[in-house]
Amino acid sequence: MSGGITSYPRTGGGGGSSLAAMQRLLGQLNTGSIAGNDANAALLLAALAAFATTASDAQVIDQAKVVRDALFIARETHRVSRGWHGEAMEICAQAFKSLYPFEQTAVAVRSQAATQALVPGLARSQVRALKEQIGLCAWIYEASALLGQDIAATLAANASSLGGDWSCAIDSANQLTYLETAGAYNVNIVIRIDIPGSSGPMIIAGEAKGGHSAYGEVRGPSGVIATVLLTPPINQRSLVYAISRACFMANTKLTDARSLRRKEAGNLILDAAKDDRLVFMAARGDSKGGLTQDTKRDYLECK
Amino acid sequence: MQVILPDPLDAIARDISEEALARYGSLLDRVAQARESALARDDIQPITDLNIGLIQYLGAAYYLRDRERFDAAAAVIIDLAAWLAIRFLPEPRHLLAGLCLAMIRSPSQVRRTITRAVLSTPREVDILDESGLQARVLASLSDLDPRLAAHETVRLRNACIDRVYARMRTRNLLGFVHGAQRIREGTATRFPGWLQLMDRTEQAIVVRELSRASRGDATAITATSFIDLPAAALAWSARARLSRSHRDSFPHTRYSDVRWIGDIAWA
Repeated sequence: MSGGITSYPRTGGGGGSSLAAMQRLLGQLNTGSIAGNDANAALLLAALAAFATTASDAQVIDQAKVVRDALFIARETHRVSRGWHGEAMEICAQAFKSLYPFEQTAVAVRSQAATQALVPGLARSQVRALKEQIGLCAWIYEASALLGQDIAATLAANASSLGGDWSCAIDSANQLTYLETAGAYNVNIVIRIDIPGSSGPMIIAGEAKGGHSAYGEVRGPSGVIATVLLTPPINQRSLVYAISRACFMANTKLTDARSLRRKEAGNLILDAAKDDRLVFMAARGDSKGGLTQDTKRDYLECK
Repeated sequence: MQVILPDPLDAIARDISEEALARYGSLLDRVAQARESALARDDIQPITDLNIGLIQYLGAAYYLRDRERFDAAAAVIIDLAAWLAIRFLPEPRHLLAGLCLAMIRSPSQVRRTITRAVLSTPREVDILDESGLQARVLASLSDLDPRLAAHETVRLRNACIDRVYARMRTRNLLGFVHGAQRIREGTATRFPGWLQLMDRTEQAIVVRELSRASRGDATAITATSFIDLPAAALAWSARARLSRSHRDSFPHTRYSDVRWIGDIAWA
């Protein structure tokens, strides 16, 4: 059987023991019943949290990513009962934010452009558009923190415009990796993260809010409400909101470049929702003095 | 007379159905996992997540008249509802699809298990929860409890009159209320006409949404809309209360074809 409970250092000090505990738990994660795996996942996250109190931020980010990937794959193969990887991502986010403040990430340039343009005397609609940009920057920073990688410098770096405020990035196989949308009946942003060893990518869909705009509610069409499962209204701070918007996106019959990407993103979300690979995150940001902005993660849910 | 969708809309509906069959087919193999997850979490969410996909699969199989897949999905949905009813006693709306299908297809034992669970919820169903109200109406009719059926029907009707729901949805729900009252009063002989009326209200929703899709407008229609389970369950209730000559006059409708859904050998 196992090597015994004393097979890892039990010094109680330093980062060593929680790191060893994590290694052990990672090995055990997918071996038991769903309830047993859940318990292991909780222990794993506790070990990660303990590790985060002693180790350096860079180490925490690396380790949190390892744990996140393992928990994501456990979820995506339905060996655990819920999306535990969200908690690993939150620990990662804390370390990322203290290591890389907003101003040091690639999205800061875009944020500065928006805050600079935000001068007194603008029309309401212009202010609104700029605040939306600021909200989107906040979302991108918060997502970067959760993922432990600066997505504005990686995924979104090669994004090309689709007209309007739409932009997308694709990989070498012409598959969507990043989509920013504008207008109604869409989620604001969709990103695709490939996790090594999983059968499908992690899809993060998000709602970005700028300024003080409130989270709204939508009355989904009766088809989504599915005669059964959901009571309208659907709040913008829930994973179901992403699914309901994805139905609109996937149903589009238009064939221009923008609509095709929109449809692709909708299908990505619906497939991810079916296979428990979907993450929903809502974030907001507002300008504060001196060409800077703040960011705040309001909601995170992993399916 | 079966109502037929005009051609471009029919093609879109078939596309949506085929996509749903392809996307959600794998869910049929995930039932055991979902149950284990629900027990591990002590929460019905894994089951409701599964149901969202299963019901689309069911609607798609129904629209394409794919007997084998329809039967597989219906069996799973009924099983899950009966299991939920025993293990979790969830809010009635989570049992609606299972209840409708069980009324039409299942032995009385299964139907009674689900009916009991719907009727034994501790609180009244909120009027915003139209699916919950429909489940209560159907369960009380199935349980032969005319007083409760009258109570819940009136609540649903008042909510419709107060325009609590979307416009097209209200039309469909008012039809449902009307049918439920006829059954409760035992005046179900004119049911075939009612059934066609219900089919037309569902058709109106589907045509509107599919037309929007064909024009390139926003629509979130899913294959779920291609089957009207509460109407079919009502029709089944009516059928059980009628003489054979009346029963056999039930038309083949597009969205609530109780004879096809039940797959009963009509001797």
